[in-house]
Amino acid sequence: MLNRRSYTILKREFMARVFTKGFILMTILLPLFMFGSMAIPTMMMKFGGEKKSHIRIISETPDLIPTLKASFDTLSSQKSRDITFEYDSLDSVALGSDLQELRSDILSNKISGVIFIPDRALADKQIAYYSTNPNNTMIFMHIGSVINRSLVDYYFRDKNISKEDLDYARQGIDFKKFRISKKKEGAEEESKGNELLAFVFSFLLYMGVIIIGSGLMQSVIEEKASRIIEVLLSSTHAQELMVGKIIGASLSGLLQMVIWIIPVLFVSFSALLVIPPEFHLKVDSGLFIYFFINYTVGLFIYLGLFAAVGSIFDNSQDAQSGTWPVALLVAIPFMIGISIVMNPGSILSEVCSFLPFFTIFVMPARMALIDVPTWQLLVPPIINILTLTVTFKLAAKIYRVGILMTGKKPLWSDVVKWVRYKY
Amino acid sequence: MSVALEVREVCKNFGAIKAVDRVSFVVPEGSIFAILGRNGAGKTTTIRMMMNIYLPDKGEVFFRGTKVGQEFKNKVGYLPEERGLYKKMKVMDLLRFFAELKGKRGAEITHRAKSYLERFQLSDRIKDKVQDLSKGNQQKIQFLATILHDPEFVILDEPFSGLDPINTNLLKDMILEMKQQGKAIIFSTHLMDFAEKLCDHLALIDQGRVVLSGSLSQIKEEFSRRHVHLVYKGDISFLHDLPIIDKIEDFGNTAGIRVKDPGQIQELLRLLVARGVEVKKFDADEISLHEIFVQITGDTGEKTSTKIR
Repeated sequence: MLNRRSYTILKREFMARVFTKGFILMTILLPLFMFGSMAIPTMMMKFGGEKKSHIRIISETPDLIPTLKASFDTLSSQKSRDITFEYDSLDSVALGSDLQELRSDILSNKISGVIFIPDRALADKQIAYYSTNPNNTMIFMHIGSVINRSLVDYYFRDKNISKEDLDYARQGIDFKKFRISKKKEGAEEESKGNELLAFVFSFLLYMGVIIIGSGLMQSVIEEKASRIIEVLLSSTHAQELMVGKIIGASLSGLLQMVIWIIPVLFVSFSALLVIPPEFHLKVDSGLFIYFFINYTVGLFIYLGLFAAVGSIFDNSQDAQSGTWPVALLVAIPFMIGISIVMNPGSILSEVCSFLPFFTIFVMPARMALIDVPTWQLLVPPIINILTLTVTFKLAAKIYRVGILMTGKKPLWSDVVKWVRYKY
Repeated sequence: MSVALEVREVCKNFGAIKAVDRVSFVVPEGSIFAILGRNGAGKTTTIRMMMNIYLPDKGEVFFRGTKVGQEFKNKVGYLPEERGLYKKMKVMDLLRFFAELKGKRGAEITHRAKSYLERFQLSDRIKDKVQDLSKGNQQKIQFLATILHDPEFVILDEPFSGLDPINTNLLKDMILEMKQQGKAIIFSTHLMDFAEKLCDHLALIDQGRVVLSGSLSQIKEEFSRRHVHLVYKGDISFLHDLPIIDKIEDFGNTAGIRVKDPGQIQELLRLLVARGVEVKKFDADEISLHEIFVQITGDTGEKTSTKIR
């Protein structure tokens, strides 16, 4: 199927794809964006209190103040020097006039907020926060637990409970996860890295298919709209043309994926970067080999469909609104691929890893999370090849007719007719 | 006469529309063959079937005795009616790409491309992107892409439409040059003047059917035997009622007149003189392709095929 002419087309398609600003930018920016989006919450927490904050803490119970002071001193010295505190003891009536008095200071942000801890907080833990920006979650994250700790300490102070007992009561439970697998004796501690990898796999597959697919669609539309198609067809057969274009675009997609995956491999296996031990990946190279083969076949399947959609329309706007059937075929399996992280052993994830289209997104994620029996790994390639055979035949028929149809925007019923045309 | 290409009874329907209906003609080796017809007559569809871009519903196309297929595609140079190039490719890359699709590559093609570009005064634009060239220069690149692989056979669909006068001349010269090299050239057009000056064989297509085909000289001879090209002053309206007249196309100063029998031409002249018409020119053996075209396609309901070999 891949002859000299297909090869010539493949070469051109690959070059036209790879040597563009868009491709280079997307290939470089996506990993940055991906790692960035993971790092942003941490960064926000670290540097979120970009402005200096001053908090006034008012307790109705004067005795609570030393406890609060002690707790906040630890916080301000350890975590953030950007928040300063002042303390006062007032009842709820005095609070009203206090707030009135300090109104201008609060409005001008000299005082970022006022926390009022009423007496009944020692029974119901209801406290109040007054600020121009009462939704500042940074404040609650930093301060909430400290006040809670002070309240608990104060509440239990005369109750003859040892500090150890109190600490125990305060502590939440922590699940340590172990995976029992055929590959290793005993049990192996599970890594959070694998959960992350499952997500990264689904995300990259999705981005890859969408980017390369819509790129190919645009290229088909360009050839159709600018009528290059007729010159091409005077030298080659429509099917050779389509095969050349699909393989050329797929190779550019593979190149892109390799560039995307390298940082993942580097981060997971390299000793150069210190990453927390719980994020160390527990994977073998077989997973990555499966991932790439799966992606290649996935591209062949989806690119055929994208090429067919491109051939139906002669301008990008119409095509954008006409891609929805293919876009859904990418988006729904992707969603499922992501959601199986919750429970990779569920019936849903097992069934989806064998369904046409779904298997492309679900199986790699599932493999990253659990031990998939070998026989289950042999089924998806067969399913993929069968899917490819069907979609390719269908796409080739639509493509062959579509690329020469110009003028009136065709209806879906017309497209169904094309499939039956003798060309 | 050896036959380069034979179109045999090809039909193509698009839904209920009969785009091409049992079209047949032969293109002799080394000839310049014109496919004539109005817009929408079926010329492009016929050409696409010759190029194997469309499969005919019925009928076949033969190139030197074998059905057209990939071998033919490798040997043909094709300029479609609506032209297009990859706008973002560089001139030389683009030319090499199209030649490579035809199976030609290497230094020889680069050399050929360079010498053509020089001749077309484009040698300084080799590394430019196609989109940076003027429309006229893009047209030149398109011709070049059509012939760079040295095709044995050239098909040009409406080659003169949209060309500026310089490129029109350039293309005309190229066609003649290729004819001298013994190549067969097919072109379609609705411009009769050009066809008359360039072609030696033709097929006239109207409403999807061939209504006339053969060698230009024989066709003209046949049609001119009953035809008079008249340049005059006066009133010739009386001719409409004369029984010897088959058809008149009157332009006021000139007229194309067809008599029912070649023997009636002398009588026509006598009548004109007798009626006091000032006859400035009475050309009894001359007919333009345009007049033939109008005579045939203008005849309502007359769809009989006239074949002259």
